[in-house]
This record gives sequence, C-alpha cells and structure tokens, in this order.
Amino acid sequence: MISAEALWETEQPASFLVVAIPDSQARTNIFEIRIPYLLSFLSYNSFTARVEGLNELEKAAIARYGPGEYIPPVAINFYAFRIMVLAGLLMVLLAILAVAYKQPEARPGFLKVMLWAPILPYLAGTTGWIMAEVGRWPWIVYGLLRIEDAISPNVPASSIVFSLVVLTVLYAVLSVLAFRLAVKYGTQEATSGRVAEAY
Amino acid sequence: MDLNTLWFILITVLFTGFFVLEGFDYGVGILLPFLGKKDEERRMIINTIGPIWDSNEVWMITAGGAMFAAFPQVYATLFSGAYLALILMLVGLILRGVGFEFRSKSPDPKWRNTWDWLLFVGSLVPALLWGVVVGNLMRGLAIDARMIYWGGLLPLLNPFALWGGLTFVALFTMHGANFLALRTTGEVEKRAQAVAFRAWIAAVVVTVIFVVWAFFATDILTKPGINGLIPAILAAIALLVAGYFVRQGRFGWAFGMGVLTIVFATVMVFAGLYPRILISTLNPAYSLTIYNASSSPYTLRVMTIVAAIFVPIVLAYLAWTYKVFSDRVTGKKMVY
Repeated sequence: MISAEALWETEQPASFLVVAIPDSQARTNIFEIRIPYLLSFLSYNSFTARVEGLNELEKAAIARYGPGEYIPPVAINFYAFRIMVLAGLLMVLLAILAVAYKQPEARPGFLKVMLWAPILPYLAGTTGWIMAEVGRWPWIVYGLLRIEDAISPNVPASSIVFSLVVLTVLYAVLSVLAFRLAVKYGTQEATSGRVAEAY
Repeated sequence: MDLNTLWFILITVLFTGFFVLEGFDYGVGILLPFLGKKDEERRMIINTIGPIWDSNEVWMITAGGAMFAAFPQVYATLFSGAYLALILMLVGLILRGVGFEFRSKSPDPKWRNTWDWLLFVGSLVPALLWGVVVGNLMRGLAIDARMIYWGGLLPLLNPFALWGGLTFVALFTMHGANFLALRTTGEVEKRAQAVAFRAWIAAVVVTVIFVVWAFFATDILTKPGINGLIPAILAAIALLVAGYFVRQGRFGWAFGMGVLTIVFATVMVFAGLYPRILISTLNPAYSLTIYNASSSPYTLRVMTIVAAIFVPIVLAYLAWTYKVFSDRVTGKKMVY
C-alpha cells in the first residue's frame, strides 16, 4: 500500500502525493506535488499520525524474512492506484448526477459523457488488479511464500509466452467481434413488440 | 471412513456428473454441422443445449476446484505438467462458449457457418483431451520424487491415451445423438435417431478395444483390492443394453443407459486408481495418493461441512433448470 503512495521516507505528519515521479534506483521521488497532513489522516484517521516509509518497511522486512528485495515497482503501483480511484470517483459523480438531474435523458451533453462512461469500470477494475498483483511482489502468499519459490519448474518460459500470446490474440479478436455486434444492436431502430425473436 | 477417502469419492462423483452432463453437450456440438443441414436445423440443435451447457460445464469447474482444495498436490502436478494441453482445451472451451452466444447474432451465412464449425472444434477438442487426460491417469505419468512431471506435451499424447480420447469422443457422440433424438423434432430428430445407432456401434468397437488394452497396459482392472473390473463389466452391459433400446427406438431408455455407461466407466477409473490419484511410472513410491497429496485434516473438515450444505442446493436448482427447459425444441421460438 505504501508503494502506492510512493512514500519512501517515514513522515510525521505524512503528506499525500497527488503527482510523483519515483526513482526506484535512488529510492526517492524526483518530483512531487504534495497535500500536507492528508496521508496521515487517510492512513490512521489522525492528522499527526506517523506513516512508515518504504525504506523503513524494507529494513523491517529484511530483519523478519532475511535479505532480499521487498519493495514492489513503485511507479506502476502509484499510478495504477490513482487511476483506479479517479475512475471510481468519476463513476460516483456520474451516478449522483444521473439521479440528481430531473431528466438526464434530455440532456445531450450528459448523454454524450455517459456514452464514454462504460470505460470507467474497466479502467478501475484493471488498474485495481494491476495494483493488487504488482503490489504483492515479492510474495505470492504474504510472509509465507515468495513468487520465485512458487514457480512451476517444469513449465518453461516458452510455454507461458505461448499461452499469453494465444489468449491475448483470442480475446482481442473476440472483443472486436463483441464490440461490433454491440454497435450493430445498439444502433438498430427500436423495434416494437419483438422481444425473444430479437436474436 | 476417513475424510481423504470421502473426498476421493466426492471428486469421483463430481467427475462422473461432469462427464455425464458435458458428455452430451460435447456430443451435440460434435454432431452439429452434420445433423443440421440448414440454418434453422442447426439453430434447433444449438437451442437444445443453449440454456443448460453452461451449468453442465460448472461441474468441470467444481471437480477441478474440489481437487484443488482437497488434493492440491494433484492439482499442481497435473495442471502444471499438462500445461500446454490445458491451454489447448481452454481455447476450445472459449470458442465453444462464445460460439453459443455469437452464432445467431448475425444473419450472414458465412458468419453462422464459421461459428458452427468453431462450435464443432470447441466440442471435439475438449472431449478428446479429457479422454487423453483420463488415459494418462490410468497409465501413469513420469512423476519424480518431488511430485513434478517434466515430460511436456508429447509423452501425454501416447497411443493408449489417444485411444482414450477417441473412446470419449465416441461415447459422447452417441450420448449426444440420443439426447438430440429426445429433444428435437422433424428432420433433425429423424437424422439423430439414425446416427444414434451408428454412433453406438462405433462406441462399442472403440470402447471394447480401450478396455482390453487397459486390462493389459494398466493395473486399473487388475489391481489387488478395490479395482475397476466390476464397474467395467457394468459399463459394458449398460452400453450393450443402450444399443438394444436405440434399435427399439426408445431413446429415453437409450439415453439413460448412456448415462449409466459413463457413470460406470468413470467409477471404473477412480476405483482402479484408489488410493492413488496420480500414478508415477518412474517409481510407485513417487505416486500421489489421497494421503500424501491432500490438504490438512482441518481443511478437509471445513470443506465437508460446506459441501454438505451447498451441494444439495446446487443439485436442486440444477434439476429445476432441466425441468424448465425440458420441452422438445420445435424451431418456433429460438433464443440462441
């Protein structure tokens, strides 16, 4: 979680970083835009709480689990988390507007925005999963099993690449077909009375 | 009876349910381009399994999931060892599942014909590969002391396992033909009735060869103690009686005998394996058994309680689904 906040050094009180460019080699951020006190509040419900940084957490992990690397890729986590939250907030906002407007279907501007809104859940879901899976590194079961120890030794990398390529291509083709079918049915004139036979 | 044995039996039941139910789905998919010569006929065939194929496939997921939870080492060894075969099966299943939904959504005949053949491939490949998997279960895999199979895809495609695949395809095609003879009308029904007998003959020939081969090449039928000999004999009887009912034109009974054939055949495999699950051809001491490959007793206990509560519920709504969609497909109202 702290990698999602790109907080390298322990801070008290901790600032929330709206934008950051992390440098994983130097273990610090090259550029930051901060909101003071906010991260303490978000983490511990107190504006003066102490929030541990990545460097301190890694020392604790080395003491507990032995030598090694324990910090997941910070840039990926940081931006994935923010995109996810932004997409989520936008969805909530659009939902509130749809309920608050008296006749949302009569507002062409709102409808145009809503036309693009279905991207938001995909965005939120995908970045959320990216953050969950990238953030768990190096553990596959936290504290008990590392990813490098859980890899099947009998499955060569070539097989994995093969399956990744095959499934990606298959899904890409099916997605295009699904989209074209959706457009076809979405742009039809509404036919009255025909329900089951519509397919 | 200990929990390990109980879960071995439950997994047998789940795999049996899976082969019985998905068996006729695969059979229908395999017969689709042949029994349906016109678009409406093919649509009729698809609509016989349209509402139920997905819940049938859930049995496979449950069997795999129960295996993962109760015997995780088996899940790991088998699924990692057969990685490429599983990917192939997965592609087949994806095409099949999408095919049911996409096929009738465009009136273009080229679109529909392409998807009909993709449905065929997506039904044939998993049926074949499951037979190959079961054949390899019976024969054993080259598993080392660390419970790892290093052989890759080609040794899995050995002659015995491939014949197992052919046996599954033949049995499922017969099963599917009986199902279609019960669920369709008109020309398709007549064709299904005709095919049912030819498929039965093929199934008998292929299965007899497979069982005799298994008698000599594996210990499934000859192992001391619990083995698969009696279920094999019962399966053979059921299969022969199925042919009698097909000849008589009594397809309800024929289908029922097909169900019994698949049930006894699956029980034959698992009874012959017990108490092993994955046989090691390198050294019997390396075989995965229900004891060295299982989860902890606590896990098994929790799973048993959960299963006792939820499996009856699942079976109840499955029966309800079948009842709702049990009418013959006449071609008048086709949702798929």
